[in-house]
Amino acid sequence: MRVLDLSMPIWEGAGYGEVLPMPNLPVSFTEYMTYDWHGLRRTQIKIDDESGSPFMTIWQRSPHISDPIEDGGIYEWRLDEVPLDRLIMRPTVILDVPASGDYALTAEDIDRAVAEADYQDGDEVLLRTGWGTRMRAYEMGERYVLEGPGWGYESCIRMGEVMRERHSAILMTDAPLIMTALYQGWGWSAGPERIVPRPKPWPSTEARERLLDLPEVPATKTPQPPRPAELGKGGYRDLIKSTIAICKCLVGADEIRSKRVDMIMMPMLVRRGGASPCRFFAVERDE
Amino acid sequence: MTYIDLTMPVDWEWMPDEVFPTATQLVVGPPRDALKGFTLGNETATCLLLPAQFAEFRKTVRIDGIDTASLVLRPTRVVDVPCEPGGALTADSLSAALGRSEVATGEAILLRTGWGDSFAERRGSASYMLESPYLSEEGAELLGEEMRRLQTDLVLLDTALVSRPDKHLMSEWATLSPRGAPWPSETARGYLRGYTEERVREDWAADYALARHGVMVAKKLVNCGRLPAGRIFLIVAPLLLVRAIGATCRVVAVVD
Repeated sequence: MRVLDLSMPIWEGAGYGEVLPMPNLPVSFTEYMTYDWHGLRRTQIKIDDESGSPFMTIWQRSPHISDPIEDGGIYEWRLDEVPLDRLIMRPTVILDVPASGDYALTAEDIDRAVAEADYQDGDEVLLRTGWGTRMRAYEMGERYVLEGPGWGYESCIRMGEVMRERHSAILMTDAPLIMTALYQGWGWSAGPERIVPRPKPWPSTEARERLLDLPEVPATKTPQPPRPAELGKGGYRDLIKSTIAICKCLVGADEIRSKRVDMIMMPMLVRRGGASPCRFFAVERDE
Repeated sequence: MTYIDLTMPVDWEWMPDEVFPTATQLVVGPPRDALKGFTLGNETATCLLLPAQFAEFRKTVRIDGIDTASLVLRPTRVVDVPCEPGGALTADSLSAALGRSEVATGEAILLRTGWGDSFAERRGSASYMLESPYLSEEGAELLGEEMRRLQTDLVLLDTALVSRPDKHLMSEWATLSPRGAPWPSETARGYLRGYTEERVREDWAADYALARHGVMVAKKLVNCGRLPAGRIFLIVAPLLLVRAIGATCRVVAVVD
């Protein structure tokens, strides 16, 4: 048996919070006790609920918002309510969709990967593009997110259908985003109308100013900029309804040799929380 | 297989470590607010602290360098050390407890005093920290030596404290009424300017003793009363902070 750590580390300069306009914020560390003065080090850590490799439930705005981000979810658990036997040693199928650059997964990709996999009823899902490696993330910084593969709308819909058919409840992927960088960063960090140089991320004045220019939406929704029709739609909110959680930005899945693993998922335990950074461990049995 | 969550949740309404100026205030900010996200410290909730927290050992392993085998399905021995509130785990009590427990080579040690089971009823009260059992310096030294002999590097506590910082922090800060807010309050900043290495070493002597023996410490575990005696397996999952000396940590027991 071997255990692989598939968790994205958290560090200042990690890409996710740098490139999406709001309300995602970057990682920052502030040392307030230091070796040279106190002989002891203490750090204030500021992270987003999507920093690292997050575990994101349909209650993502909880504890501050009492409603799920979408109606019609088939699972009702917040972070502190997910039964541990749904998180530990979960049989998980590996779905392979090799992808790099700014490729957007399609429904056909999902079907092809499912057909080639050893997918058993009740499995959780780890969809592997091969993009997610720790060194690539360290070296590329914010470009890791902007230049990595994402999930096209139809792939989100198809994955949700498959997961319901197969009674799968947790989706994990080594893609840096569900949806695509072009869709999520449109008019900010991606696309022909991106702002150059890029403004500072949330909660900068420019990021807050951007909110003033977007249509008001309910608290459970994310304000959206106008996008060209050919960009399509984002599939995250459709997909989340079929899952206990969606988990992105895993790394090191390329080191898995088997077609199936047992996953251990340990999200940071937040009282009535909806999403948090998570540790992911793949347990690979001896063959 | 039974899974038991030994983790104190991150709770935006109350985090016990904020009794001390050495802690940072937890904030769980709402969406579209400037404080959105999590602001937390190395010791928020159940946490794992490393020897590298001390200057002398800063060149030892950091959170992102811990071998996965040390953390996942780690064989662990539950060692019962009953202790009254505010009492010390001394060299004698720890020696007796370890002697009864037959810790095997390489096993992590979970010291169970019973204190963590009172966490829920003490929620909102400084008593959870200020009346917590703790390790005496001599007790920590004995524990560290024994762990070195057993070739093991991880101890887990259901107490809120490793050291009781009663040389300075308790009298100069924690027992004041009203008590100052933790860092980054101005009062905490002012206090920490004078909280120099010598005073830190005096207050955190037991922590330092364990660090000297290369011991990682997880503290503020809860629900340990549900664990059986003897051997269990643990999943210890700290936030994967690059080059950090400690982090908030999920701890789950796996029991046959």
